[in-house]
Order: sequence, then C-alpha cells, then structure tokens
Amino acid sequence: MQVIWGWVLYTAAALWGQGVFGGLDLLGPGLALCLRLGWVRSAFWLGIAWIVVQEGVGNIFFGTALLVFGGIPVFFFALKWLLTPRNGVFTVLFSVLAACWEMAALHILLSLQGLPADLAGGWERGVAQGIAYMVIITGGALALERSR
Amino acid sequence: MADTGMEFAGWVLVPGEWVRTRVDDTWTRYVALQDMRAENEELRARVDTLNAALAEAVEKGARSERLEKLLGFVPPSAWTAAGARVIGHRMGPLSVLETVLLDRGSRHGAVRDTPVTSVRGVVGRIVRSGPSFSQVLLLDDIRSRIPVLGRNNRIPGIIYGQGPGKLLRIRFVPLNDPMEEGEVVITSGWGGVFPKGLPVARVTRVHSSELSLFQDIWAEPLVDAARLEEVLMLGRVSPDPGTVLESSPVGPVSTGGDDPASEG
Repeated sequence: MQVIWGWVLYTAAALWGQGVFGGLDLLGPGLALCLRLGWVRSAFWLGIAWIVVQEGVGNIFFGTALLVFGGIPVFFFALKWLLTPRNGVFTVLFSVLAACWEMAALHILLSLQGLPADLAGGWERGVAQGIAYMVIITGGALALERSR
Repeated sequence: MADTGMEFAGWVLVPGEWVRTRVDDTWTRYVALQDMRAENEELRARVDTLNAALAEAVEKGARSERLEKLLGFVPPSAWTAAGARVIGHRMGPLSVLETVLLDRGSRHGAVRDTPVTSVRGVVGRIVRSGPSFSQVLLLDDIRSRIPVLGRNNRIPGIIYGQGPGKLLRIRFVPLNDPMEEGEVVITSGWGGVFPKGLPVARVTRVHSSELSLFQDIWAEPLVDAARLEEVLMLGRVSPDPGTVLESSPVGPVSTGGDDPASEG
C-alpha cells in the first residue's frame, strides 16, 4: 500500500515538475527507476498508466508516448545484459540512450504528423532530459535503498 | 562612638547596597529583556501574519480587478461569454503545441472550437475537451489561422501563428490594398468559429515585394497568452430569443462547428 501511495505521490510531483520545466519528461525516468529497483510488474502497470497520462497532457496524435515508453525497457534490459544496473556507468549510459531515444522518437513522429521537428526542442532539451534520468534514477535508488 | 559605628555600618552597607542595586538592575533588565524578547517574537509573528494577509489582500485586489474587467466584457450580439481559469501551460514532452489548460470541460459546455478570448483580444480556440478540463490552441501556435479584417481599412486577410514569442503573419492581403502599421486587425467571422469584431493583433510591419501578389504583413498579438490567468469562452445563442441551441458549449451557447484546420 505504501508503495502504491509512493508512486501516486511521485506521479503528482512529476506532473507538477513537467508543468514547471516545460517539455521535460519526468515520468519516463520514474519508469526507469522502477526497473532499476527490480519492480518489473509495477513498471508494467505504471508504464501503462503513465502512457495514458502523457498522451492526455500532450497534444500530438496517440502513439508517441507508447513508442517512447516502449523504448525504456528495451534499452534497460539490453544494457542489463552487458552491465549490472547498480553500476554508475549503467545509469549514465542508460540515461544518454533514453534521452536520445526520446528526442529521436519525438522528431520522427512530429515529422510524420507534418509538424516542424524543431517543436520537440533542441539539444539543450536532450541534455536536460538525460540529466533528469540520471538524477531521478540515482537519487530515487539511493533514497529507497537506504530507507529499507 | 555611635557615629563610628554608624559610619562603619554605612561603609559596609554602601558596597552591599551598590551590589544589590546592580544585581537588582541587571535582573530587572534581564527580565525586561526576556519580556521584550517574547514581545518581539510575538510582534514579529504578527508582522509575518500581517504581511501574509497584506500579500493575500493585494493578490485578491488584483484578481478582483481582472475579474471586474472580464465581467465588463460585452460579447458580440448573439454570443454569450463564460469565464474559465488557466491552470497550466505546456505539461510534458508531448505537449509541443502552444496550448493552455482550462478548468472548464464538456461538463461546463466547453467543446471543440469554442472561441476563447480575453478583455484585450483573442486568445485562441479549444482543440480538446475532456469532461472537466479543456485545451486551448493559442493564437501564436504554428497551426493557428484566423480570418481577420483591418479595423480601419476593412481589408481581409488570414493571420497565421509563427510560434511562441514570434510575430504573427497576415497573409493574402493584395499589394494594392492599404493596411497600415499600427492598425488593429479584428476577426472577420468568415471562418465560422470566431464572431466578427474581436481584436486580434496590431500590425507592426508592412512590406511589399515585387515578386509576390501579396504584401508581407507582420503583427503582434494583443494578448500575452503566457501570462493569462483568466479567459472567456464564447458561445453562440439561437437567433430566437430565449431558445438555446442543443449543442450549447458554454451555458446557453453553441460552437462555430467549422473545420478546425480552417480557422483558429
């Protein structure tokens, strides 16, 4: 029950954060954190809920969040095959890959919808997204592991 | 002898009395300081409370001023206006268009293509509507197009959004038609979404090129959408007095019901 409330609070905080930081995605890093903690089943259900939320607050055609969030477990398990998720290098590599994937997916889908791809934002947004992944995965994992 | 005893007692008592007076003074001062400190803390707390109350009163004053202006807005004839609060702007990675989120949805009559305005000018139109909230596509979004007229010269054109922070562009104004810098453009009502006569933008630059049949005209929006807190949603009423159209979007009103790509 505590875990459910924790993720509900995280979702609310992430949405507030997304409102403050414009185009930043703070739910994707939450999904990665969930995978990093080994909560695969929770990640599945949270992923579905967050896809619906992101599509709801967004204003492009349905499917973009599905593609972006679908990439997160793929990169996570692909990297896990090479490195242990507790490793700092894993977090950095995963964050870079996830941020690049998010930007690439947005650019592609905007172009497919006949919208200018630069609406997705420039490299600064990609860097900010990568940092968001790193901070949330590392900070969240440290906080949760210490509290146990 | 008696004097000597008295003198002795006096000399013994004087320093004692001096010490007692000092101790007494110090104690009194200490107690007074303690009281003063407590009073000071109490006063500080009161100042904080009063500052908070003052800030709240100032905010309430500013809000009531804005709301008074909104109440003073007279909608075009056969249209009604209903207020809504802006509760968010861009909310995530998929929110790439210039939109704001309103606290009114289809339950309150806010439906797709409802015109949204403020007392200063057009804000945009509703593009998505949930039961309790709706999303407004702003005037400066790249997908926004609104048929307009020059207020002075009555020259028609279509105003295009160019992105946040950029000037709007008025297209399809023939070379020989006069449109002046500083002229306000208003909605023409021809797209069927917006009523006629709402101010939209002020012309800032007019350029005629020999290579084109039309003038290059740039205009600045009259509304800074990023700072909006309250807006008005407009809706059409039936021409028959007292009768309200069934697909009423804002209380006793209805939508323009036009192709969303054509205007807004």
